[in-house]
Amino acid sequence: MSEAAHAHHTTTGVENRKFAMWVLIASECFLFGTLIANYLVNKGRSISGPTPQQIYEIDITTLSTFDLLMSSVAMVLALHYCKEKDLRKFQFWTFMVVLGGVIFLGFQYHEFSTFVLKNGLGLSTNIFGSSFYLLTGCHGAHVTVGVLWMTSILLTSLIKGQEWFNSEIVEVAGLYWHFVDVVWIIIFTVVYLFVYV
Amino acid sequence: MRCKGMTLLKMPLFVWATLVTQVLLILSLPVITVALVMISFDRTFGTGFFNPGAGGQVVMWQHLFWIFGHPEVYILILPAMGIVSEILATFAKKPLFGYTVMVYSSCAIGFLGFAVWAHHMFTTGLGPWATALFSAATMLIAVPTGVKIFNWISTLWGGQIRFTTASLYAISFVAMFTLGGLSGIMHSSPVIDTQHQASYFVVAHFHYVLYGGAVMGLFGGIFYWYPKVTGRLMNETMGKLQFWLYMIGFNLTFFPMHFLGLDGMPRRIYTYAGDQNWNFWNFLATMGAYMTAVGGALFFINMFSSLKFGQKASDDPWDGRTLEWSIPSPPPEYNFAKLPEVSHLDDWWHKKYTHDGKRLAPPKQPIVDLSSIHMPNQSFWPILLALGITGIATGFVVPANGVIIALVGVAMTVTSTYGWAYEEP
Amino acid sequence: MATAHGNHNDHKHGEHAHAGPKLYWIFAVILCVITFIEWIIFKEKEAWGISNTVMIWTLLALSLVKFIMVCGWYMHLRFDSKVLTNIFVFSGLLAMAVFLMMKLSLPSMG
Repeated sequence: MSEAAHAHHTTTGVENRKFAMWVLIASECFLFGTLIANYLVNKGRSISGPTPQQIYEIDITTLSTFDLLMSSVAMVLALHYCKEKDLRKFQFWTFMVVLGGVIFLGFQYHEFSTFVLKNGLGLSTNIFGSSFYLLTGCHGAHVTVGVLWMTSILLTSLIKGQEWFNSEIVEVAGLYWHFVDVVWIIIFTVVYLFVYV
Repeated sequence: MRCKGMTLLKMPLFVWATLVTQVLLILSLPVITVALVMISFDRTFGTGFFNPGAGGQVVMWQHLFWIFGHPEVYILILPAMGIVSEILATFAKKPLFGYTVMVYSSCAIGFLGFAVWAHHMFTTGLGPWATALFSAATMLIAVPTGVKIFNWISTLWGGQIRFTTASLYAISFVAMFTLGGLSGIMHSSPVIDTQHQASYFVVAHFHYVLYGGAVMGLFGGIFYWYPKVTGRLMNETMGKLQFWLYMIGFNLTFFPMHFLGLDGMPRRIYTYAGDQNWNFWNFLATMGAYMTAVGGALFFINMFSSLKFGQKASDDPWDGRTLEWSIPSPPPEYNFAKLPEVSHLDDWWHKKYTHDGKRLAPPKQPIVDLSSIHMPNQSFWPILLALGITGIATGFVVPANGVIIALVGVAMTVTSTYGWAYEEP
Repeated sequence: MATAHGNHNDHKHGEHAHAGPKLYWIFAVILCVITFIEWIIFKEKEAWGISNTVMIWTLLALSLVKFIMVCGWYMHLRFDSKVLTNIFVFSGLLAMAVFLMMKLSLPSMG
């Protein structure tokens, strides 16, 4: 029934931007699918070290996973308060999303710099490193885009104040953010926790 | 935007084919994106994804390329199939035979298109299970394709066929595509494929599919919709001359390649020893290529001169079946002054004819106050965004200072994304 | 149309009853606990004598639960049009099938 109510707006019965975001997510399934498959194929094919077993810091990565999960909670709360038209709480939780994203990028910066400086694993040192940086780097790029997007929403809200509660835009940004989180859930398990497999 | 009554199973088949093509594009392009980034990294940053010396595998490139590349084959052929379905129905004065099955066949082809990529790689040694699976899937995809071919033939069967240039191209599409499809089924057998791999037989096969098939279909589409787009008809005499030059030239070029390939001539060579009995067929192929070149030149002359000198086209020059023929040629920028309501497949036909084929009074263009039509504002941000993305891609291809070009592209992409997003509607 | 709208609003209210801040926080705690369990399993694998196979399938199952929680509730697929779920599930499963098949077709080594 709810679909019928929407139908006079769009032909799919769903708001167009939301539909487009899900189509993008469908496309991203293949993007990250390729990257993860490439990592799994190549992680044990290096001719020289270092190997994943030698360098992964699972404890720190678990912390950054917590951080990303928490930013997802912040995202869903931001959307909730946007729909409730509660400006303060909306802006607070949007800020928390940005903060969570930035902290995650900080963790990634720490990880990459440790790998490069301490472990001597550059982009082209071995094929494990190349595949690892390509996969996690691409995910990091997605987080960066998400941070930029949420920052833009926060700034727009700060400038326009009470009159700007565009929950459709926030919802679409939220879908993107949660998807990036979901990809990390997979990467955390398949890349990091399966390191000895 | 679909108009009132335009349910999914009333959409023209070309629209359906385009829809399936879009799904294929969205799902297959990310794979080649990653593969191209990987090969750019190999070239620019010294990684070894495809370098066996560094632990990488060349076969990996083949997999990633063909996971994209096989859906891409259907991306090329499906729109042409849709165009041909429209043209054949129009010029046979019959509804498309088995419309619903055609729709499902398009979807089945699109879906199975993701399950057959490794038939391009039988000779790399996939192992018995994978070889058997991909071979079976390839044979399976011939079923919906065959269904389509029989439906086109049945559409023509008993129709009042008018042989315009567009319909000649569409009919030849069916014939040429069938030939290419048959040699395709041959290749689904790994045993035969191993014999044909990298020989001219394969070149013959895919040109029959993509040249005799897709390109012929696209030419048909251009002749068919040119009057709608420009308001003038293309020259039919010149068009038919071009068609025969193409048809004969094409077959002269590519049919002998079957013989050459079976005789062992490898592809991707620029010369060969003269005593291998390949000279005659290669000579024929060259002559055929000259014929198609003349045909191609004629086509461009026809296309550009008809812009100015072409006969003025009416709104519905072919007695068409679908909605685009109900509006003026060329269409006004708002397309439909009044949104049509659709009650049938081929709705425009049913507005012109009764059920038993008697002509009704021609429907009039609706009279609408033009000032009431609201057009969205035009924006230059999307084209700038596209330019930025092109810059990024160019940066990856150019050696030396490519990174700078890529960074300029990134800056432009980001700027125009923001420009577009914050533009006042 | 009016009735359709009425129903639509009811539906929205239902959605709020199902998924409000309280539920989001409960889910957040569950997500964290699962991540913690995953980490413990990884750490104590040797001590608890868990075999590789058991660990792999346990961790995969746990992350699948997380995956479904985020997609179903945070991305509110549970409460949204089925078209969206179909798009996502179709492309996700197709990608998995394709890349699994690719992995199996590649010569194994290392």
